[in-house]
Amino acid sequence: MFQLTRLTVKGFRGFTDQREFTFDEPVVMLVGENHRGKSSTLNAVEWCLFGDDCVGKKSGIRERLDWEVANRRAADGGVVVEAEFSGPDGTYSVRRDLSGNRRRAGGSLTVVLPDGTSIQGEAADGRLAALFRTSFRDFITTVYQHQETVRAILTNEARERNDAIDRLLGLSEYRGLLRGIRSAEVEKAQRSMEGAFEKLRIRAEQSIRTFDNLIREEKAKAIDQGLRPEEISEQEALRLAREIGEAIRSLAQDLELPDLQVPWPQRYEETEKFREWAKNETDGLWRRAPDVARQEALAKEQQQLGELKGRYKATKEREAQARLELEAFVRQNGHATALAERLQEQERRVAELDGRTREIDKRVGLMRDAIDYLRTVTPGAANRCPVCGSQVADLLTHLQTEWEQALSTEIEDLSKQRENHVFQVDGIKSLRSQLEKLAKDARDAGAELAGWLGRVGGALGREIGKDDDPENLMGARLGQIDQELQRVGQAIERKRQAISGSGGIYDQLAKLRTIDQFIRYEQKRRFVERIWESPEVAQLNDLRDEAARLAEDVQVIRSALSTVSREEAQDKIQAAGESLSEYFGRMADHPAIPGLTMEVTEDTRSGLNSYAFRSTDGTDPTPILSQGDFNCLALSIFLGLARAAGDAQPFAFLMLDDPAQSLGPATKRRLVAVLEDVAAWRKVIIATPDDELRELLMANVTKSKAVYDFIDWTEHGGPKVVRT
Amino acid sequence: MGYKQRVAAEIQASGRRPEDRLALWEAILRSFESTGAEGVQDDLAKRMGHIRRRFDALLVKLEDML
Repeated sequence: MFQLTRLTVKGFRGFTDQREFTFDEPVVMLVGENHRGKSSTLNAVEWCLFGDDCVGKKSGIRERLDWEVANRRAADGGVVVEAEFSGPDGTYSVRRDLSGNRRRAGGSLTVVLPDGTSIQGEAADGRLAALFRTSFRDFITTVYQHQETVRAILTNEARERNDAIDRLLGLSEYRGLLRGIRSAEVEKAQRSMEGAFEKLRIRAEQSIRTFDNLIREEKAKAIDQGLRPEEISEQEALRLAREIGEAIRSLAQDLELPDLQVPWPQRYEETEKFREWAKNETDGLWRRAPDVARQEALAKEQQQLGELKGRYKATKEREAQARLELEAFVRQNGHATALAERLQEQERRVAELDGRTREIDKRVGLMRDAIDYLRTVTPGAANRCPVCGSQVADLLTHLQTEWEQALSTEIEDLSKQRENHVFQVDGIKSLRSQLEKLAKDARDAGAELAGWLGRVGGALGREIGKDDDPENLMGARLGQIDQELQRVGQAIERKRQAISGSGGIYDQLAKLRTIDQFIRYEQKRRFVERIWESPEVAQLNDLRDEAARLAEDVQVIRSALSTVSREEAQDKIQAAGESLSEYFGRMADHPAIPGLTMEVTEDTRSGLNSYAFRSTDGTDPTPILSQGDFNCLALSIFLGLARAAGDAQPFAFLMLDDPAQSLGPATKRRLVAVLEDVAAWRKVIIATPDDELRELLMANVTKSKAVYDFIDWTEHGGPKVVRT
Repeated sequence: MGYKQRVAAEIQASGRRPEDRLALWEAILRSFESTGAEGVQDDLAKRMGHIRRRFDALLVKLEDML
């Protein structure tokens, strides 16, 4: 067995300057506050022996993922750790160097044998492995208990505790491998592929059923169109195409468009294109047909001429009406000259009456003056009448009774006459205005009618003479158009029948299309059926097989990992068995748990190890275990395994990092009692910040002790250590 | 016997295609020792991914045919 005797550390993690430790006592304590380099001292032994196996992901220790080996402030940037071991043949020196800026790597190894032989590089790695026959896994299971492991066990989360126990038992690689394999989800991916393939198969089946339905429908349509089942074939399609071509050629001739080239289909595959050509050509022929063009032109002329005739007739009627009204008026009221004469006469009379009225007014004026005068001078005196000139006795009375009345009457009479004549004048003026309007209307109607004559002439293509009756001319032309339309219509109808009548081109084209559709659906159905024989499906099946093989292989490897992991765990638990129960009983001294066994099963979901504990009464004690109890459990497992390893373990020392986590004073005492026993078969190196544990160890462990007091740590100087 | 050999022996005992399975196991180990559990996950995912990509391409082709 190999005993650690000396350790020199420089530039490693918290260490800047070189420090030396001598492990020359059965018990060596590294004591001091946290963050002073105690754990780094133990880590240095580990790194010296195992290099990058204990760094990063390879270590299987989560806390080591971003571990830096080199101290950032070391003077020359280099790391040197040298460990000396006393073995059966003498002193062995193991030195590991790391230089430059590589902060996380494994460095280079030098092994010096007792005879002074120095071995370096890969040969040194091989010699070291052969010498110590211990892997990093085994080292952390039976030599060095990390505080990270204990911390991880002190958890209520079953998954984390299982993880920590696996680490304690040196089974982290299994765990890591199983995790990686599980995360890849290979079986899930393979099942997904199978699901996709199944969907394809279902889709193909649905496709076939769909085509079956479509084929049935097309067959029924074909029979409705008059085809017999045996006629629904490629041969029949070609024959039908030929018939259609002939019909179109005949139609072209009928339509006087004889220069037609028919693209006769030679093979069935050409019938679709032919059908398209036939439809387009038939429509085109129709549009270009002279008869159809003629019919359209005649219809247009008919419509325009009809409108023209209607409007001409209306204009003519308006013109006749205007003339009649004028004539009737003239008959009734005379022409303009007569009206002018009558007007003149009436105006003359009015003027005359105005003259007489003025005259009478004068006489009335005189008479009134006389009356007024006579009233003022001699009433009833005889006088000459100023009106009639006669001698009257009582002029006043005479004037008043005779003339006033008479003149008034005359004036009234004249006034009435005048009124009558004025009325006449107004009447005649009104008549004159009416006559003017009627005359204008008659003129306008005449001009409009003359304009229409020009248009009629243009529509008929000839001049309309004085003796021509435009209406009749138009009527005659309309009659001609009617006859020609009838004739053209009959001719067109015959041709239309050839196209769209029963058995016509469109009918035949519809049959051809039905046959095409039927054949196409049959072809597609056959294609889908035969898809399973295609090279693509063969390749797909190959890939399915490849995926299935990969999934199966992964499953086998996973199962193998799980089995071996569990077996190894079982072996170790069995080896540690009694010791584990004994140490736990002694340290925890739990009143309800006199003894403890540990068992491992497989977590069927993950394949990982699942650990369970049983009290001697068969119950699960973990619900009633405290943090301190779990620490005792971790220590018990470690010490049990170390004891079980016995002399098979090449190293004759144990390293415990902060073993008193979560332990109360009494438990610490019990721990120390156990360590007293352990010290009988192993050198014990303990790192602890716990003063109480230190005191207990100093007082109760009977073996000699060396104490390294980590009294301080600075960034530039590293740990300040004093041996006491 | 180290754990690698023990697992290899278990795989060999599974009977079918031991060479292929051992080769896969070796590849998984290499990935693990290089980049840990994530490396294993990536390696296996890549292998299956390679099969899946070819599979999907053929699937698309066949679905277009349908």
